[in-house]
Order: sequence, then C-alpha cells, then structure tokens
Amino acid sequence: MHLPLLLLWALSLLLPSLVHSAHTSNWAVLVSTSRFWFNYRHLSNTLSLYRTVKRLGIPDSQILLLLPDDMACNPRNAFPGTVYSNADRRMDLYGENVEVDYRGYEVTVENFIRLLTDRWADGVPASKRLLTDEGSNVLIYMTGHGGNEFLKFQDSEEISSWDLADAFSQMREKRRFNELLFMIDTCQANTLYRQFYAQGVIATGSSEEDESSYSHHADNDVGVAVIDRWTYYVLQFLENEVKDLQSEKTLGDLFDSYDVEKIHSRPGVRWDLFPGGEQAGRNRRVVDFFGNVQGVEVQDRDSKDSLKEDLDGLMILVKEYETFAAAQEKNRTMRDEYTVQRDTASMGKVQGLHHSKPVGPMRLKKDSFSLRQVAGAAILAGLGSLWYFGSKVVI
Amino acid sequence: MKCLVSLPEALWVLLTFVSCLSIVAATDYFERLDLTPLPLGSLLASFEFRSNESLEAYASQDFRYFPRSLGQVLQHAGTKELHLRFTTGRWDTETWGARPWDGTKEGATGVELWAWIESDTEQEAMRKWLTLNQGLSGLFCASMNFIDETRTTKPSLSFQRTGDHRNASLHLLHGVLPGKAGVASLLDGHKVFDASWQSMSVDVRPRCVSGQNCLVEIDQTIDMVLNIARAKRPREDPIPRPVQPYELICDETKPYHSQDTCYPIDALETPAWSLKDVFGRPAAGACPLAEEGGPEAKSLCLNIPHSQGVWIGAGGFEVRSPPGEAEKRCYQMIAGEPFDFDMPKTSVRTHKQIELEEELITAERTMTGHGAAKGGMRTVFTNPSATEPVNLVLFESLPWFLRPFMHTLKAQIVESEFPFEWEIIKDLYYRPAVDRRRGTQIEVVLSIPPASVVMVTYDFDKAILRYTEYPPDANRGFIVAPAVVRILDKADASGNAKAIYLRTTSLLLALPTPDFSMPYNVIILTSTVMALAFGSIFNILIRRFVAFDEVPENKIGKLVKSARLRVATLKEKITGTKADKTE
Amino acid sequence: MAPQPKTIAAYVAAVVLRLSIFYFFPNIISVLIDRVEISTPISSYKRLLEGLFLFERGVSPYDGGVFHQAPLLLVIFEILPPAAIFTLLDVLNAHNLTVIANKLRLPTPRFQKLDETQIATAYLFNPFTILSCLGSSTTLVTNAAVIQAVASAAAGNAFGAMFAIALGTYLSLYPALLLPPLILYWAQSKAAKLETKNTLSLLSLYAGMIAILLLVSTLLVGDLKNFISSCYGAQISVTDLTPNIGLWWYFFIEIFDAFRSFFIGVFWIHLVGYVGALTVRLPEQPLFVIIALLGLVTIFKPYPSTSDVSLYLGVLPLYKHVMPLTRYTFLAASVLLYSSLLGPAFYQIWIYAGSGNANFFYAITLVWSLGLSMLVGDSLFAVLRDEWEMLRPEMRGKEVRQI
Repeated sequence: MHLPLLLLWALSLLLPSLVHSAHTSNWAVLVSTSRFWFNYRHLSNTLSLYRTVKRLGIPDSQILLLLPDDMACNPRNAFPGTVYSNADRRMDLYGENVEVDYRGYEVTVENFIRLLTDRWADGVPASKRLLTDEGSNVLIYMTGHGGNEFLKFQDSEEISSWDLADAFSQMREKRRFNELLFMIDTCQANTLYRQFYAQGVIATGSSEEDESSYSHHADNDVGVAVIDRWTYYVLQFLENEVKDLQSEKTLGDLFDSYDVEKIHSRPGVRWDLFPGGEQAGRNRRVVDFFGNVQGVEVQDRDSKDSLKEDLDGLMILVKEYETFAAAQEKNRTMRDEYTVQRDTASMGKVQGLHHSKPVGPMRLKKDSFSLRQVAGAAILAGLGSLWYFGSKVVI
Repeated sequence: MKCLVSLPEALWVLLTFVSCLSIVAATDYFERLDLTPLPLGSLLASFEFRSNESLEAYASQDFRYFPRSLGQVLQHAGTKELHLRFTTGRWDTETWGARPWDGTKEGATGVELWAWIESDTEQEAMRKWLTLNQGLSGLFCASMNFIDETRTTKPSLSFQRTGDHRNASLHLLHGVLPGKAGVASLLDGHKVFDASWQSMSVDVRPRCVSGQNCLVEIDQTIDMVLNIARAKRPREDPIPRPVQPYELICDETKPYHSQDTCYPIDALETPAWSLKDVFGRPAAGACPLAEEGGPEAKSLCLNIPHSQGVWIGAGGFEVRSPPGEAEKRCYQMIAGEPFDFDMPKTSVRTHKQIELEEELITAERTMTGHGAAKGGMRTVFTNPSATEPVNLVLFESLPWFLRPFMHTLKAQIVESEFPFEWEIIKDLYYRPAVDRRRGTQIEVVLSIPPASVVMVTYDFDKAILRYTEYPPDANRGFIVAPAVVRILDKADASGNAKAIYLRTTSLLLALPTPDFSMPYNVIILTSTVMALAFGSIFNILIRRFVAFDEVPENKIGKLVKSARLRVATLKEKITGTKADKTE
Repeated sequence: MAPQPKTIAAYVAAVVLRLSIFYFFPNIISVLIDRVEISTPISSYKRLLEGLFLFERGVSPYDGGVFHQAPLLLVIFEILPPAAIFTLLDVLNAHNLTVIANKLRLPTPRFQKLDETQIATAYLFNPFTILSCLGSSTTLVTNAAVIQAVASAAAGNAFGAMFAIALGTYLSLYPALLLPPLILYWAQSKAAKLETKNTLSLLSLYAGMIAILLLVSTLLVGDLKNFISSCYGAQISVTDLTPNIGLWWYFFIEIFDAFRSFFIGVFWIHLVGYVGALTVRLPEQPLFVIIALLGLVTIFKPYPSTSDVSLYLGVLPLYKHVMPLTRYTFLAASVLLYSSLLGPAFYQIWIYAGSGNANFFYAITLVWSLGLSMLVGDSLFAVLRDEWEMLRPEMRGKEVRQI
C-alpha cells in the first residue's frame, strides 16, 4: 500500500520539475549605468523592464532598481515627473509607483558587486540588499555604454566581464541563486558575458563584438532618444506574448523573436553554462524569470467531480512543497545560525568601534586684554635671554 | 521593502476609505487641506495629517495610526523626537510673503533631519544617529545614508525641542543632505511635481497634556506652491504653446502699444481653477477616521476674501470664518461623496486679494569671487520694518572642503534709513572643520536694525580633493547646504515663544579639479623626475673621478673596439679591392 | 665684526624697499599673500591670522581648521607688527650670511675671500627673497633659524647653533635633517675634534631645547594631542593637497588610496636618505653639505615655496669659487627662469581662466624641480671635482670622467 503511493508521490515530484524550474522566489536587479540627460533612453530601458516585472507580479521588495540619474525631475524634462519609453507617450513609467533603491552617486561598481555578493557593512537596510537564496531565480538587466568586455558606470568607472564572471561565481558558491538570466543592452554587449563560468546562468546581449547597439526612436518633445532597439523588441515580445503569469512562452520563443533586420545588430545568447544546455534552457518559461512564482493553478471550477481531483492534487502539491520546504529549512537554519553568529560578532565590533564624539560649536568672544598676551611676551623674553646667556655660559 | 506610501496618495486613500478598522477616539486623527491663492496665478496648498498614539501603546509596539515601519526605526535608534524635511524649490518671499507654518515645516533643499536621541554618551548618540539615517534612507528611498559624520552638526541655538520630554539625557544631532535626495519616489502626482516649491515634513514628538497620559504625535505636512496655469495644462502635452492673439491681454499704457505690438500682462489674471484641474481629481469625500463634527472636521479650507464667489459642488457644507479673524471659508465633506468647487477667473485689478503676511526678514546668500581657489560668502538681510529690529541666528553647516576664514567675518550696513549706530554681530559660535571628518559649523547671532539692508561676509578657500573623492560629474560642483535663519524673541498671540525659521537657497561650489584621466601618468612622471634627480646625484656621489684618457677599458668597450676594427678592415678590403679594380 | 659701510647701505636699501611696499602698496601684498607659489598650507599668512583669531578668543587653534603652524608664531605675530618682523628677519638673514662668509676659509686653491656685500646683496635683492618677504610667508622665520644656526656654528657657538636648529625643527621639522652636517661644521670651525662626549652634549642640548619649546607651546594652547597632530602630523602625512611648486600635491591627489601610506613613506625616506649620503661623502666640507641639503629639501619637501628657494639661492653664493667647474649653469638658470615665468601663467589659466587644466601647472612644477635638481647636482659635481683636484692638481683644466 505504501509503495505505490510513494511511487506516485515521487512521480508527481518529478513531473513538475520537467516543466517548471524548482525555484521558490523571483528577484530582479535592473541597472542603468548612465548619467546625463542624453542617456535618457538607458533609464527608460530599465524602467520599462521594471514595469514589466512588476506587472508580472514581482514585488518591489524583490526588485533592486539602480538609476544613476533622475530624468523625471530633470529640469530639461518638459514632462515633469514622467519618463516615457515611447514617443506616443501613452504610458508613464515613473510617476505612479516607483521605488528606486540605488540612486545617483550610489550606483557604483563597488556597490553593484557588493549587492550581487551581499557583502556589506553593518546597517545597510534590507531594501538595498539582494536577499536571495538557492531557490531564487534572478533576472539581471544592465544597460548603458559599453565596449569590448567592459561597461561604463556613470562615465567615471568601468566594470569588466571578469568582474561580472567572478561575482556570479561567488553567488554560485554562496548558493545565492537557482538560475540566473543575464540581459545586457550596450554596444558590444555579447562580450560582457564571454568570461562567465558559473553554472546556471543564461546570458543574452544585444550586439556582437565590434558592433554597436542602436536606439530605436526619439521623441521630439522630450528631445532625446527614448528607447533602445533591442530592448524595444524584447519589450514588444513581452507585452504582446507574455500577458500574465499563465503564459507558457519560453525563453526559446523570446530569443527566436530576435530579428537582426529590425534590431540592426546581432544579439547573442549563451547557453553552455546552463545545466542541460540549450535544450533545457529553451524550455524555461519566460515568467520563470520575469514573473513571480506562485504555487496556485487556476482551473475550471464548474464540475463537482473535479472537486475530489482538486483536493487530491492539492494534497500532492502540499506534500511536495513540505519536503522541499523542509530541505530549505535545514539549509536556511544553518545559514541563519551562521548569520546570527556573524551579526553578534560584528555588533560587538561596532560597539568597540570608536565613533568620534560629536563636538558642539565653541563660543568666540574676544578678550580685550589678557594674561595670554603677557604670557606671550614673557615667553619671548625668556627665550631671548636664554639665547643670549646660554651662548655665554655653555661652550 | 515597500516604501512608506506616498502622502498625497495617503490623502486620496484616506479620503476614499470606506471600511474602517474601528471606531476611534476623537483626537486620534486629524487632516486638513488649506488652499491659499497667491499673486501671479500661484496657489499654496498645505496638507496636514496628524495622528496620535498613546505612549504605552507606542512603547509596546502596538501601532495603530502610527506607521509601524517608522516607529520601529525610531525605537531601534533610540530617537525620542524626530524632525524630517524634504524640500525642493525656492520660496519667493517678495511675491508670496511669509512662509507657511512660519518656516517651521520647511527644510533645506534636499533632506534635512534633526532628532533628539536618548543615550548615555555622545559616541553612542552618534552611533544611533547613523543607524537612524540608514533606517530612514531605506524607508524613504532617500540617500540619507550619505548623512554621516561629515554632514552632522550639533547646533546650539538654532533648534529647540518642541515635545515634552521627561528624560534629560537627550542629544540633538542635525544633518543635511543638500540637493536631490529621493523626493521623486515619494511625492506622487505629476501636478505636484510641477510645483514651484514643495516641502514635505514628518514630525514625531511626545506630547503630555496635563491630567492625561502622554501621547506620541506624528505630524506630516506637505506644502506646495503650484502655478495654476501650468497645472491646468494637459498631462500629455504640458509644453506651453503660444497664446492665441485674441486671448492676449496687453498693457495699454506702454508707448508702443498698437494693433501689432503688445506687451502681455496676463500675469495679472489668475485663470479659473478647480480641485480637479490642480490635483487631477476631486476630493473623494471626508475621511471616516477623522472627527465627525466641530471645527476640526472642516478638512478643506480656502483662504479667500468673503467677497469672492465660488461655485461649490454638492458634497460639502461651507462655514465662513467669523468677523475679526482672517477671512477664509472651510468645507465639511460627506464621507463617500466626491467634492469639488470651481474658482472663477480673478484679476488683480477687479478682485480683492487676500492679504499675505509679510516676512519679518528676507535673507539671500550668494558666493562671491571668481576662480576655483577661493571665494567669499555674502548673506544679505533686509529688514522691512520701520521700527522693529530683528534678532536672529544664522546657522551654517559647511562641507569641510569649503574653508572659511572667521577672521574675515564682517557685517556692514549697505543701506539704511535708520540714523543711529548699531552693533550687528552680537555673538559667534564656531566649530572648525577637520579634513575629511567633519564640516564647519557657524552660528552667528545678529541684530538687524530697522529699515536696513545688512550684508554679512567672510572669505573662504576651496580645497582640492583626492581623485576618488570627486563624484562622477565632478565639474558640476558640490552643493553647499542652505543656511538656516532662526528669528529670536518672537511671541505668538498668547505670549508663548514662537519659532520662526527661514532658509536661504543652497549654493553650488565649483572646486578645482585634477585631470581624471591621468593617475598613471602622474605617478610615472613624478617618479621619473625624482629618479632623474636621485640618479644624477647618486652617480655624482658614488663615482670616482679619472682623467679622460685614464678611463680603464671594460669588456664591452674592448668588444666594441675590436668589432669596429674588424669592420674598418673589411671596409678597407672591399674599397681597397674596388680601388684596385677601378685603377 | 662690524659690517662694512657698503653692506650697511645694502641693508638700508633692502629695508626701505620692503617697508615702502608694505605700507604704500597693500594691494600688492594681498595679491602675493594669496599666491600658491609663496604661501603654502604650512606657511600661509592668512591661515596664521585665522589661528591668531581663534587664539585671541581663548580657543585652541588646532582643533580642526586650517592652521598648521607652530604656536610660537602666534605669540610673535600677536605682539609685533608683521611688516617689521619680515623685514627685520630678512636683514638678520643677510647679516648672518655675511658672518658665515667672513668666517669661511677653505683649503682649496680656488678659494678667495668672499666679499660680504656681494653675499648680502645677492640674498636681499634676489626676486624670490623679496617676493617671499612681501608675501609674508612664515617660512621666513624657519629660514632665519637655519641661517642663524649655521652662523653660530661658524662662530663656534655650540649653544647658539643647537638652539637655532631646534627652533627651526620646532617650526618646520625639516631642519632636523641639517643636524649631522651642522655638528661637523661647528667642530671644523672650532677646530675641535668630534668625540662622543661632545656629540652627546650637543645632541642633548638640541633635545632639551625642543622639549622646552614643546612645553611652552603646550602651556600656550592647552592641548598637546591636537597641536602635535595638526602641526606636525599635517606636515608628515600631507593631508592638505593645495597646489604648490613641489612634487607631492598632484601625486597624492591622483594616487590610488591603497598606496597612499606607502608612497608617503617612500617620499620621506627618499628625502632623508640624502643626509647620510652627503655627510659621508663630504665630511671635510660640511658647509657645502648643508647647502646641498637645503637645495634638495627645496625640491623634495612636501610644501616648498619661494622662501625655500630664496634660502638656497642665498647660501649658494658662499661657494661661488667652484663656479668655473660647473657644466650646466646656463641651462639650469634658463630652466628656472622659464618655469618661474610660466608657472603663475599656467596657474592662472587653470584656476581663473578655466581654459587650461591642472596638467599645465603640474608640468611646470616638474620642470622647476628638474631645473633645481640640475643646479644642485651641478654644484655638487663642481665641489667634488674641486676636492679631487686638490689631490691631483695636474688635472686642472683637463677633461674628466666619472666612473
């Protein structure tokens, strides 16, 4: 009696994993790396992706948005408080509900790498940290100005493909992600993922080496280009084909939709780091990375017979998640114990840390005549006499 | 983590709140919107939201109307009284008169924060202060984590506790992050963002009313000055277009006025407006949480003369202010019913204008001098009153790379109708900067004579920073926080001491910059020069002198010599043979 | 020995020139006070006034702020008027130089007795000296201490020499480097042999004087820790990177943070290393070791200014007898002239006009340092050759090589 049930249960465990990836949360890190008004399109690229992942359910607490400049409140913006990614200006990407975690000067290479590897000093709020675990699928989108194996941050520093590769491998070592989708829209974007070596990463970029990525169109009233080509066509696919979490569109469909004629550059995909290679990767659903994981399946509720089926199915799912959760718990308790230990150790250090005493201002009132002047004169006289008599007395 | 819900949204959310959590006590929640039309087509909108929590409930983390996230941050950082301000824009005193709330709800451009922190030692107070900043930066999505020790001061005169505190070991710390610091994510509403001046404030303080338990009060205000004509432009097309010729109103007193020449004076007219025009939507009715009756229930007030006519919608009852008080009318709305009104077009020539309170003193601060090495700071105070002098404290918190010279501080009367001598600088409190660790703090107590314009100046030097200390857009410059002016010795109607503040604008400081493309080159070049000098002196010292012909040969010299000899003989052989041949 | 009438006339002319500019052209004075070539963070008169302002109000001038100079200067400048101080110091320096010149006797056949008027005039009317005096650079007090020390040593006055060099060290730290050659010079002038007993007593005099000065300072300003870290720490760790004519500022602006301490150490070791090398190589001519060290300090100290150059160019004529042996005098002089004219111009276009950047001025500081090092190296070569020719008189006028 036990064995067939166990077998059924085991089978039911297997089945989902063939179609769905066994991830328990979704996180997104959306980075724009350019500053200044004429790089408006990089910000609107990032904000369009932000809107998409929010639309597909990822909550703000699991999205890290890094924007180095403020286009919405830029004095050159004729539409205050808004960022558009299309010249028809039908959709405002900024004004309603945006949570920017890293703004302005905080978007630096150091902060980005710390964010990925979660190596922070004490006191950094949770909204600025990537609190993923080994069941998290992470989407990383970067856009800006780049070149052969580097990406510029705010026109003053660079991140190289090696930095990214090492950061991802650290994440893999620390088991900070289940699967990672890396998307990048810059010039010579495909060179950025050339050096990756961590397992479980799918990478896609907008142009090959020695190729530039182009902007799509400009808005005459905003005055600058508002979206880049590759991102525009990715978004077009996402808007039209991936309308909600039930969408079964796969990454293979997304990447097949790339049209070099329209994008004007050759986008690339890298599958070799993904377990199962291109075949497994192509079967991953788009919403596995862009949407938020939910364990609920909406079914037809009309017939009563299906009620029993539903209940049975529910029991199976519940058992499946219980075992998975127990396994997670074990890992997490170990990790939590470690973090608690580390926290108490560092708290001790913080208390020992010498913060300088805040000093108040001193009152300045001139004393008209003081002992000080007399003392000064006396000191000078003393030194002078020391000089005079000393030379006579000593050799 | 979700940000604190943006406050105008809070207004709408609360106004549309249908299902209550529970019936609450009368004094627990209060809200108000005050609308004051200003000259030249502007409108001052002041939102205030206030809620109380009993001290026991707060201490036991039983938050009801107090935002839990904020409460937890404050308790974790041991903060007993908190004042947080987000401000952008410039308050135009000449046109708009005195600041709302006497300037007490305004902050420096950017973020300003001052708090009373409970702790035993000053070091611990600083540590808690930094924790508070980190927590608030995550909560408000503002870069307040940049307020570190270099931007923190301990003002001695400029700020006072407004709450009732039992515990005496409280430390005041004040920090400014001038510039933009994340207001965008908080103030929702594109109309709001288009404001000429906006200020949001959060005040948390304990209040003990005699005979009752102590309460913790949180007071949030949003003030903004909107330009009505600009607010009325459609959101899809806010770009100003030229006015049609028949809509132009011309100044006919000009000598050149004619059919084809016009000096437009449409600024004298304020266009018609309604709540929907200005805020994008009408008021959605009263909040069920607020009081049901009494003066506090009139949550929307218009400060206009009684003679001004206004068309009002169905969902509100009007109550006008009694004679003897400032003219205004307030509306009590019905829960669940949207309310709007229509203000007709007014012109300054035909309609009576509300009298604006005159500012007691105007302060303007600018930098003087040119060049990237040094400059001067100049603050100009204008006292319009003919009889009353103004005593004030000028509080400046300067970054460490702006090095002021206090021995050059002087005040002089620029123009005055006051005939007598007057001592202007009464007192000076100064804390000098320590490079890279703390900034300069200056508090000057000044007395401005009546009907005078006084100029206070001092010189400063600009430091040059290390390569990594410049921001990515280094040539933009650094922002210097506004100066806070606190007017002293003023009392309100009931004789209690009143705090009046105003702030100057922030300044942009251009520092000398090195060449950022050059680190390796500089290291190489300087090292080369040092090596050349060292090398030549080293050689001169180490080597011995010999006559020119006494130089002993070394191996290489010998090899070279023999090689040369061989080449010469080879040459001779070839040319010799050639010579033979030609001959 | 009383100075000659011609020398006195030179003194008077110098005094008249300086005082007239101080009193009749205060605009020039304020322009010169602000120039980076003349005033540095450790010698600026404006910063001294700021320190004085705080000192007069009973507040320690060392708790932060811009003041990094010794407290004794505060006392001096509180009591006496600045114009008088600077002018008198210049005259004192010239006088001490004449004392050294008159006492100087060298065994080399090239040496001729020095004309004191020439020495005094060369110092007093050197444009660098005049600019430093008018620019109110407080390094002038250090210069006075250094020259006084050398003059006392020339006169055989050990106490005076140690007192003065201790005062110099107290004011500016770098005179400590002159201690070994100074002791040797004193021994040579006194015709005394240098034994351990002598040396130890001299060193203890020196240490004692420094202790007295530090004690007096602590009594004056009150807090020792801030005084030491602000006054001496600032000079050693070079936290203030205001542009000057030296090599340190731009280097430490652009250096990567991880290497900062390393290079501070390297630069200081480099400077200090010259003391031992020169003293060991030229023990019979300690005066020239002092002169060469003053030149090297001018090039390689963290905050050099025109007053350091003026000191070097003031003591250099004492050895004018080796000038025929120098090789690059014209080149060095041209380079120095070129950089002193272009330096202010490039500073102007960087800071005020905005049409150039920091590299222009930086390049001029490199050229200036090269020129000075040429001068130092060349004079060193000449002295060494002269020394060698004393051993081999037949080599005079012949071509030589160094191997």
